[in-house]
Amino acid sequence: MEEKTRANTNNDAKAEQETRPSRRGFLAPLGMGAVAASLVRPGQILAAPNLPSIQIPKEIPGTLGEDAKVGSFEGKGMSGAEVFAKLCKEEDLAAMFCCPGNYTVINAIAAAGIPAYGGRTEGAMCAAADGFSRVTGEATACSGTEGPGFTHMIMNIASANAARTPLLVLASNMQIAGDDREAFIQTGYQQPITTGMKKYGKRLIAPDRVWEYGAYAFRNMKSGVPGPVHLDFPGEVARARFTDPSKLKDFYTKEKYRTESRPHPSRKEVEKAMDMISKAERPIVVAGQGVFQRKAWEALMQAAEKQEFAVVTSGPMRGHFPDDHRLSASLAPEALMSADLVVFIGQYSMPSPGEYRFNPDVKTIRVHPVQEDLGRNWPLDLGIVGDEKIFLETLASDLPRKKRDAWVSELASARQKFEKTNLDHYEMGLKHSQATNHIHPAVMAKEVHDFLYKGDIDPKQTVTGSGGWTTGIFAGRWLRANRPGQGVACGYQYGAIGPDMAMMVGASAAVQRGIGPQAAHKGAPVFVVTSDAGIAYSMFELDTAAKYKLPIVAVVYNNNSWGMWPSAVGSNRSMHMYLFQENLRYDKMAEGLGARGEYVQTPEELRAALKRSYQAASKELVSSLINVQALKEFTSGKDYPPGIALPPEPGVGAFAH
Amino acid sequence: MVADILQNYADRGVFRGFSRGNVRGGKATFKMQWHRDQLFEMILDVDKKTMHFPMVLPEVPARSPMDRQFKEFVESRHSKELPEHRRIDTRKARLKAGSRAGNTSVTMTVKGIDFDYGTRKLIHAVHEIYLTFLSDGRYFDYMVEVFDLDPDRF
Repeated sequence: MEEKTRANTNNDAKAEQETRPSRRGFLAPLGMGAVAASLVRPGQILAAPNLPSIQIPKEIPGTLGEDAKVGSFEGKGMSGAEVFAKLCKEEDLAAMFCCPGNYTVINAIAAAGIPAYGGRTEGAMCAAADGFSRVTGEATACSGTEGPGFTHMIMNIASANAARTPLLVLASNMQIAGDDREAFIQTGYQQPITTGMKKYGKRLIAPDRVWEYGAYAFRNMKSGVPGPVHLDFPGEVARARFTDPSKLKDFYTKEKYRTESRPHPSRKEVEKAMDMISKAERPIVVAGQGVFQRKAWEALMQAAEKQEFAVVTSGPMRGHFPDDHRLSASLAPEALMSADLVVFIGQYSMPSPGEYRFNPDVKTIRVHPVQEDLGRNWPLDLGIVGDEKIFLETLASDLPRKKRDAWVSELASARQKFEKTNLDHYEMGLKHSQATNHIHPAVMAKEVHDFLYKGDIDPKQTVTGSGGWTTGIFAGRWLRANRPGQGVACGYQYGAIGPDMAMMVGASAAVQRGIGPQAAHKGAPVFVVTSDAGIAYSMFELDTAAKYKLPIVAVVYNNNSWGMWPSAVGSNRSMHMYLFQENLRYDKMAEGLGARGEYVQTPEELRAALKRSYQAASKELVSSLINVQALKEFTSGKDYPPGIALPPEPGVGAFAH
Repeated sequence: MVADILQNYADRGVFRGFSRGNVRGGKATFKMQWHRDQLFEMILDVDKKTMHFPMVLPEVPARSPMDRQFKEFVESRHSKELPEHRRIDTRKARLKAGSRAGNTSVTMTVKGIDFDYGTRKLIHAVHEIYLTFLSDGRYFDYMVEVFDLDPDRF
């Protein structure tokens, strides 16, 4: 796969040089109408006589096309960074997203042939790595420089921790020799800062143990419940030289320092679970992210179809059971209360009763890979220590067949009801849109839905992410995940506003490379639906998307405010803190970053903009930002019903658990 | 029996806190910490065969649109449009919404002696009021004003 990718990159580089327009060519299409405008290349909008245009420097495709060069013990030997990069390569680290800093390490990782991306802020690159992992399940790295770069990543490390992402956080950290002397700049103790937001962390202080601690990192990311691992590299470790492998401690292969062995649930417990499932009238499985991470979706499908139990997905990614399947309850919140047995499988972030819409008498089974989490938050009738995939494969194999016509019929009715409610919201929103000449969020969400799932595009193709408060809640009801890795809940659990665009840069990189479940849709554009509040945190990554040809369509709901502006109503001297200038032009900002910009105020304009943006993304690998102009008052249920309908959990739109 | 059922809900994590009141003259008061971290009171009157939550949703003015919709929602719990396992069988019990001192209340009246059925259906109904009724976008402003809803406390 790597060779193929490299070949593609070389082709991209040549194509880029051949198609890069001259300044005269740049200006020609301006004013040629909508169709011609759709073919305008990024940067043209801002190009003017005597001003240089936005261009991708030839060094970018040029260096991307260079051969990998893994360090060697021969000659000058390997640096500590190269030893670490060798381990990352052998562990199939899927990608690294970084900003310059931690130079020795990131250069070694890139040189080793691991796909590497450099962006505009460390925080956004951390989110990009998280996004890559959320749509592939693979361990992914981010990196930043000591002090400032590392601390910039904090929000998104915490977000990845809440999402249990196998994220390798790397940062340089001056020199051990300078500890406590405040020598020069950027010194700081990193590990205490990530306390509570990582699975494992270590400041590497012994150069000869760099391989050993690399092993610690991957053992933690690839065993049990994953989570971020934070390693900080003082200069003495990264720049150490090794000409003799015997100088490295515990320098042996991954087969020796970790195992692929997984916990097998006991036969007695599995039989009890199967008995409970078979006896239940309306059983439902909550398929958490463990089902995705362990790639257990086929076993889940087989078991569900065999016993006709309902399935609802949960976690920071969606689609490991398709929304459009007749047994899916992800779009059937009304049916959740009817379940008489819930089986949590791989639910890493555990809700409490009352946070999920199950009835107070529901019986509960939980299957989880580590014992100590069983019983946390949610009292159990049966707790099973076991690997998600092994458990589901056992169910698929050993559960007797059973028909549950009444339950299937209830699921279908509930799904119809949910979809009718959505349509009612849309109709209300459409009236508001027509009356105000601004787009209501329900209208925006439905237009995106219809474009992605009701038109010419394969409904299983496009990976989407959503975020923001108002935006995320409305979009969440309409975005669908019909295959594994198709949906990302950007704000999952931690509730960070703003990593959305950056996460989808990572997701786009995964789709462009066709990693794991993205293989069937390699090269397709991705969509992000986010808010004006959210986009401010990572919009600059449109530059990163442009330079790596990662096509993203960003639909930005611009209501001139933070979504929680109603919190200031009735509080003196407060509202100003919640508002922005009105009618800011995020589309123009996007153009300044080398993407396309679209500005829409009506559903018809949005529909046309979606089409143009998709074409630019799929045919030219050019990203677009659609500024959807709205009013903040649309969030008020009193003045503009339906108001904000809190998302049902678990299911489509859920982001808390 | 009612106390045992409620205790069982506490043991199952449905309530985060629970205390049994003393039974006097056929009346008992139970307290439970439940939705949105509120302390709820449930009053059992064995003679009248009622179980009563004097406050289900606070600060809902009587005869307001929300009060009216609340009453409709409570009434709909008996509807034949609900699946049989979800509805309240009026032959066994009857749930009624009320309004007092600016708060909404509900009372379950048991027909016969099936307090088990009545208790469970009452708890289910209050649970659904919080998880289903309040999730309607019409009550978002109410959630912000009364429950201080924000994304950090969602």
